[in-house]
Amino acid sequence: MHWADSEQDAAFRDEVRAFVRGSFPAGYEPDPAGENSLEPEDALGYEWSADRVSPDPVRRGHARAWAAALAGRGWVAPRLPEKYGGAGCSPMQELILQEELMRAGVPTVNGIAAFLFAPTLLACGTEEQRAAHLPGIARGEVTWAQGFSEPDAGSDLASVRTRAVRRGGEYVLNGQKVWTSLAQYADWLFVLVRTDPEAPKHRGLTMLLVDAGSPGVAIRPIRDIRGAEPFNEMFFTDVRVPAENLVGAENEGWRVAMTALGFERAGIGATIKYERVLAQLVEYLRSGHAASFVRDDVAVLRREIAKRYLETRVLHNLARYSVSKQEAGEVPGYEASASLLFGAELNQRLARTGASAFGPFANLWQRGEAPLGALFTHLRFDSVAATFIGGAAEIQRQIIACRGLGLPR
Amino acid sequence: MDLTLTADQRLIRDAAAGFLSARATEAGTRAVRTETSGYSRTLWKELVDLGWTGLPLPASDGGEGAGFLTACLLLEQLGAHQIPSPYLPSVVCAAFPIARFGTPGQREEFVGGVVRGRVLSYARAAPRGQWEADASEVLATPVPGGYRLSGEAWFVPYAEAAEQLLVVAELDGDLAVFVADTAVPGVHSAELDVVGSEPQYRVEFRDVVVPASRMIDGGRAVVRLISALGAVAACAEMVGGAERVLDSTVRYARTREQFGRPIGSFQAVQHHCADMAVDVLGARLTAYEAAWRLAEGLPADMEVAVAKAAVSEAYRRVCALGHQVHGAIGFTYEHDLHLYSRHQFACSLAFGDADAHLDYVARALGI
Repeated sequence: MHWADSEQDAAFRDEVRAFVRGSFPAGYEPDPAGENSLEPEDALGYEWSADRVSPDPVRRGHARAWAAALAGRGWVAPRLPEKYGGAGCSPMQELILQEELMRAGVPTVNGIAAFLFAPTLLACGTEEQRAAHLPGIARGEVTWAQGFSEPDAGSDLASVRTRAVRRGGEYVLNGQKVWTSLAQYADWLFVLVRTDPEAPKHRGLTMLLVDAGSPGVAIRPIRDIRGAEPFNEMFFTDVRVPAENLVGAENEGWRVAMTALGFERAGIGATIKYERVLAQLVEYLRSGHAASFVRDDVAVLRREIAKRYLETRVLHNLARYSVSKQEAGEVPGYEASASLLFGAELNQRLARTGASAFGPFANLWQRGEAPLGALFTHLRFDSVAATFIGGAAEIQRQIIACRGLGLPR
Repeated sequence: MDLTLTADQRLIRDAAAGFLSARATEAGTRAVRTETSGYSRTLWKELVDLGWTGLPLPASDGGEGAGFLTACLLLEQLGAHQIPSPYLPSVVCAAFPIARFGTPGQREEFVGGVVRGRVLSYARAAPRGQWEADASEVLATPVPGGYRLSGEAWFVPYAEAAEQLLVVAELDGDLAVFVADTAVPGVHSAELDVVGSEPQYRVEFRDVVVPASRMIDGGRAVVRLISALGAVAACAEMVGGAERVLDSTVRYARTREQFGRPIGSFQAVQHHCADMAVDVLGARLTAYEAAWRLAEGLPADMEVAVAKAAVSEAYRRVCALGHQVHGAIGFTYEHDLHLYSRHQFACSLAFGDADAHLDYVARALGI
């Protein structure tokens, strides 16, 4: 047990820091008017997927330049083997990379494709599929969205009904997906579909790779409680998908989907994000600005902030432990679920604590004139989603209880 | 960075767990209730013979130099098996600080003594039990050749068994630490009826004369080190206890049936167990982060405060949920669960409670 970087890891950390200082495009600033990304690994103020196709040519240019710079080091999808454009990083190096990018407050590039889809394809895809799709992801040039949830298949994912019927050399796809994050910006979709409606529900599923530009694909953004559009509904009407875009075997899509969900991050980036946000609050309270906007009765606030600090330290350990176990080659247990669950609930507590500092000024949704640019008021509403995005807290608890502790179903 | 146990650490933990589980019947909390010393002297001798006291202490003082984190691995097992022993006060509160601040003579006598099995303890004498206070209820006055101690200290563990006490006293408006023999005239101890299984005493010092050679140089720095080591050692014990409560609760939930099914198949119970598991894992890592920093000699004030507050609160929640899942059987004297909830209560209060440590965190953040 030790908490210090090894000599190699410390050198890698220095390398990442120097790289960010030298290569992050000057002028690629957080968007002061935009809502935050709901992806826990994204830095506040950036939505790289949207920036990549922004109508503003300058922002678009910055986003693409940053992707190209990261890709030059293999750091868009750092753990992919070099032959696919990754850097062959260890789990610990990936953690350090994420920590340092988040500490620097710069955006993650191509997160869903690089961190969820790419490792899934590496594990379950054919060599042709890997060669066809991974390099584009690693270059930050091809983006992906994950078509899992449906109107009647949320926590009960195995009951998806989107239907794919094999006709000769292709599948014909019909149905609807919903809550698909960032699909409006995606070039490709990995979609969980039903290929055998007669089989038990987990055994009739298949994973297909679908070109988002195929005829019959309609993607409509859904407006969220903040007025932003982080997710979509997707309609498939007689969409033709070549049979070679099947991942794994037909009717074995459940295993592939579980592999993808297993790559949901333990949340190291989120940890650093919370630390930074808390540090901003503390710095603000200690500054001269506090006099105008902070409540007078701070005894409770002070104690709540101390608790949040303590909890960020606990989360940091949970997230790092998960990576330590991977690095040590140990069998993964429930530590990733523990980290995700604790992090999601901390996100909500942190937002409440921060907003409570400002009394009535917490009611300012407008960024201008608001304390800390209304950071905590916006976080308060971002974080409503934290305990169900990517899997409900109840499901995480069930995973811990049943798979981790061995309680009966 | 590697937050998993090394092969050596695993070996030590497993050996300790195996040994203590074999001795739990004769040396556990229930068995030693009738012993006046509050612990099994037979077991203590065995621990000493196995090298437990020497293992973490510096090789230059007759130990094996494995360090403070190793002491925590052993304390975790003592907590898990609920085996009272003067290991924490002797090794952690006395030997480690004397090894660091003591003269060669003091180290030879006391650190070497602990390695060989001598029992020492620690009298903080904090006003109104406030561990962090910069004061003591024992006053030291210079006399020819030494100092005279007068005052009283509450909550001194194992005072009856200890040959010497490290006493924190006020001297000229500063804090000083003395090693006082318990057998000399003027030292009076009265056992307290306390919640935890660790025997505690109120010790009165009536004009106790201590030779000058028995003062540990360093004053406040010594007190701070003892408080930090003690707080983290208590965390290690609590982690062991919390893990046991989780294990026993999961085992009970798997076997206890209601409505024709194990209660562990109900989501409400599953979610209680999941919350306990998250708390246990977070507590363990946070306790050992502080232990590691202390063992490495790195600045650790913040990590110690975070650990003591986080682990105390986590253990409290784990015991509360453990009681909830066990129901009435866990409220009986016969069931062991209350040994752990008593242990949680007592350990949370030792070396500063969660409130005190949270207040330190807030001050250290500058708010």
